[in-house]
Amino acid sequence: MLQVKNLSVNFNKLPILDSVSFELHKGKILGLIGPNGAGKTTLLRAINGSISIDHGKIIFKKQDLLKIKEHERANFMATVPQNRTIPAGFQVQQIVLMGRTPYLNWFGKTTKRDERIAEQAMRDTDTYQLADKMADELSGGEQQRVILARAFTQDTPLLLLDEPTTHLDIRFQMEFLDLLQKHVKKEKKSVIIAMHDLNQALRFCDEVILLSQGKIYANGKPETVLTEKKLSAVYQYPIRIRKSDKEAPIFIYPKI
Amino acid sequence: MNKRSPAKWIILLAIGVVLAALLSIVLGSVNIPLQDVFAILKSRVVSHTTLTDIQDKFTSILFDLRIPRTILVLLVGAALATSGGAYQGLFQNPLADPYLIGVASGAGLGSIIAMTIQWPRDLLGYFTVPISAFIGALLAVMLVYSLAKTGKTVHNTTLILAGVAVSSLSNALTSFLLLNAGGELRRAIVWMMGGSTMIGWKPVITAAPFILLGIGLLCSMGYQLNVLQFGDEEAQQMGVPVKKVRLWIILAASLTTAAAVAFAGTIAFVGLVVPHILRRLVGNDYRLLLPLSALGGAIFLVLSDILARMLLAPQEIPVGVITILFGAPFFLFILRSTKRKVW
Repeated sequence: MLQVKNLSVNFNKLPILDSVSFELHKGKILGLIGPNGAGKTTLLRAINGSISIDHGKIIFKKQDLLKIKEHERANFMATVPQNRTIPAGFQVQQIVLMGRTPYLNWFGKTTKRDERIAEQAMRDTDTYQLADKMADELSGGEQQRVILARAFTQDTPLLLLDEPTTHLDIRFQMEFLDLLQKHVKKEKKSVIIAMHDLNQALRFCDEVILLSQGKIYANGKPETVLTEKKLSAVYQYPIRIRKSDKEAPIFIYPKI
Repeated sequence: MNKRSPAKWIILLAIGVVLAALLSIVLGSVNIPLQDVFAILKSRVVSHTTLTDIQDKFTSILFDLRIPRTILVLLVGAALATSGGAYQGLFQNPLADPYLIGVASGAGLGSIIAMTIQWPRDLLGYFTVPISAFIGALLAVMLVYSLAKTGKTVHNTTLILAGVAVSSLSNALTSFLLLNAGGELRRAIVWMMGGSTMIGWKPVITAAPFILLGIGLLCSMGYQLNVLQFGDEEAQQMGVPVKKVRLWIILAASLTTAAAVAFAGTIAFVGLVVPHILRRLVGNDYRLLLPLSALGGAIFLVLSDILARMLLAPQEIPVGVITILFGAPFFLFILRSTKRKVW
């Protein structure tokens, strides 16, 4: 469904992404992992059109994304950014409904159908009971689910998430990822999610790309990519994997 | 879905505009009783009802002075408040006011340049002033924006500082030009302080198309401004053609400001005070906030104008002095109360 071919991005002539190629199929969750500065965020922003690329191709459903205007990619993909912005003075439902923007006219006129989609997204993200609340007054975990609801409302076949659980406590992290997984499996959406927690990548992703210094170091099923040898090499820190526990068949941890 | 009732607020403020306008027509150096106003209006509309002698005298005061002035002040107030609200949304800065970010001063400089080249006498001459003001406003806002921009972000304080710098520069140039303006100096200075010294219908007729067009354009961009509150990058990811929208907002807001400044001088703080109060009342949905700002700005400036006429009557204070007396403490209050974040 999504094909990225030889994608390169330079910043001040230094390569941030170097010839990255991969494919993503319908209904799959792809995890992007790698150390800080490996290029996870840059890759997501290159795909969604926030930055221009220096070389390569991005094909989505046989359409060359470089040939359409950047903001028109909103019809194909929704993004949950790394640093969430919640503008003050808007209710949750207003913010969620803004996910319909690609389909609305200049004046933002919404229909009953738009409202239904927004309502379903709020139910899927457990934010429906917050609909009338001012979004900027919610807790971090709630706000992040509101942004997720907005992305669901955009109703795109592809979702991009950039470390969406970074500032959440462990319960909100798990709830967030559970909601995401349920929704995308139900709607058969594809997801690219940059994450730091290797165990979560193992648990929630169908495929994983391990990035190192702007290049793909390994790509494939989580069990084949997340190995002691590969992780230790990329993170430059001894990483251990413990196996055979009933609750978590594999557990990754830094050597202490 | 939205539980707030936009219609209620629009009606409420529209009634406020009518009341303020009536008050402005009635009050002045000569007070015209309300029943006389209605009698005169009725004689004009229905025609041939006889008027008393005193009502005859009032007629010319009403139609040559009070009504055109009131309409001009309504338009200018609406223009400044709407463009203020739009600039605040565009720069995501609660302190962006056409005056504080230098746009008004740029428009003022543009006006003065046009005025010194040819002091406007005919209708065509009148148009050179707003057009020149529009160019001045655009140059100022672009200069301020490029000065305040570091990389991809525009810092709140830097924007205001750049605005103050550009403002001072334009004001200095304006003063320099005024010194060479000769006989019209007093009128020009009063104009600069925001006194609506322009009398009669000509300024109303010339200003109205620009102001109404500008306000209409701005109000049509309410939804785009809403999405823009997420920042440029996210707005684009949500399908907003950010560059195009930004350009349109700058053009429309500058046009609106310029038209107001060209005919009423630089009047500060209307664009700051009015949207700020309304935000507290109705939230930040620009589809509602901008039309309400237009109405609220009209009320605010008409009331200020009444005070300007009445306080030291028969002498008139420039209305810009009144808005500063209200607005400056308010500005400081907003600066101080950043802890309680309403923005």
